Amino acid sequence: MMAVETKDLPSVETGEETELDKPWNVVVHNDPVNLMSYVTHVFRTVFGFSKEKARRHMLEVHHKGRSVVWSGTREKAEFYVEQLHGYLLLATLEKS
Amino acid sequence: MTFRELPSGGDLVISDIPEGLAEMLRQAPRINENSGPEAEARLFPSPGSEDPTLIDDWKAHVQPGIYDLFLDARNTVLADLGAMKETGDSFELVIPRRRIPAWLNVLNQARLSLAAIHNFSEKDMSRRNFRTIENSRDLARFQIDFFAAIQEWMLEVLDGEPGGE
Repeated sequence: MMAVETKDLPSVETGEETELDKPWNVVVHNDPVNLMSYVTHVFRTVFGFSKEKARRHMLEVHHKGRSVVWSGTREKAEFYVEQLHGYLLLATLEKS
Repeated sequence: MTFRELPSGGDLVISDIPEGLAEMLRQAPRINENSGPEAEARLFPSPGSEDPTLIDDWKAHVQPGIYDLFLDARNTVLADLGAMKETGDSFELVIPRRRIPAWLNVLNQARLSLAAIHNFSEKDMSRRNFRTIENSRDLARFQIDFFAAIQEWMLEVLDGEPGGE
C-alpha cells in the first residue's frame, strides 16, 4: 500500500458575515420624464407589488430620489435591472 | 380628439385626430433614430456598478436584447400607425389592446429621447400651460405632454381606474 502523508490545513478566520452573504439591491432612481402612474404600473408588472406597495416605492423615488425595490442574489438583481431598463426606468444594482 | 375603449375585446380607438397631431404620432417611433449620444445614454443606462466586468458584460449581452425589445415595440406601433384611417379632415387610430405595452414603451422612448436631446431639466418638465410654440424646444415640450396624455389614458385602461397622480 502507498503511504499517504497528511497535513493540517491552515485555519481561516471567518466573520459572521462575508462579502458573499451580502444581498444585492435593485435601486430605482428619479427622473423628471417618466410618469408617476407609469412607474407605479411598472413596479406592479415587474415585481407583482400591490397597488399600495408600488405607489409607496414610486413616491419614495419621487421624493427621495431613489428607492430600493428589491434585495437578493446578484443574478436575480441583474435580471430585475434588465427588466426595468426594458421599461426605460433608471435602475441600478448595488451591494447592500 | 376622442378616446374610447371598444366594448368587444377592449381595443382602443382615438378619433378626430387633427392632421398636425396625427403627424406627431407618426413621428413618435422615429424620434430616437439617429438622436445622438444623449438619448442613447438615457435609453441604455449603465447598471450602475463600478465593476468594469459587469458594465462590459451588460453592454455585450444585455443591451442588445433591450435594443431588440425597443425595435420590436417600434415596429408594432409603426404597423398600427400605418393603418390609421383618414376620416374627412381628421384621422382615426385603432390600437389593439394586446399592443398597449408596445405603445407605452414607444411613447416613453420618444418622450425620454426628446427630453435628453433638448436637455430638459426638472424645472422645464414642470412647466405647464404654455400657449405658444416658438421654437424646437417648445415643440418638443408639447410633444412630451401630448404623448404623456396618451400614456395616462392607456394606463387608466390597463389598471381599470384613473392612473394619474
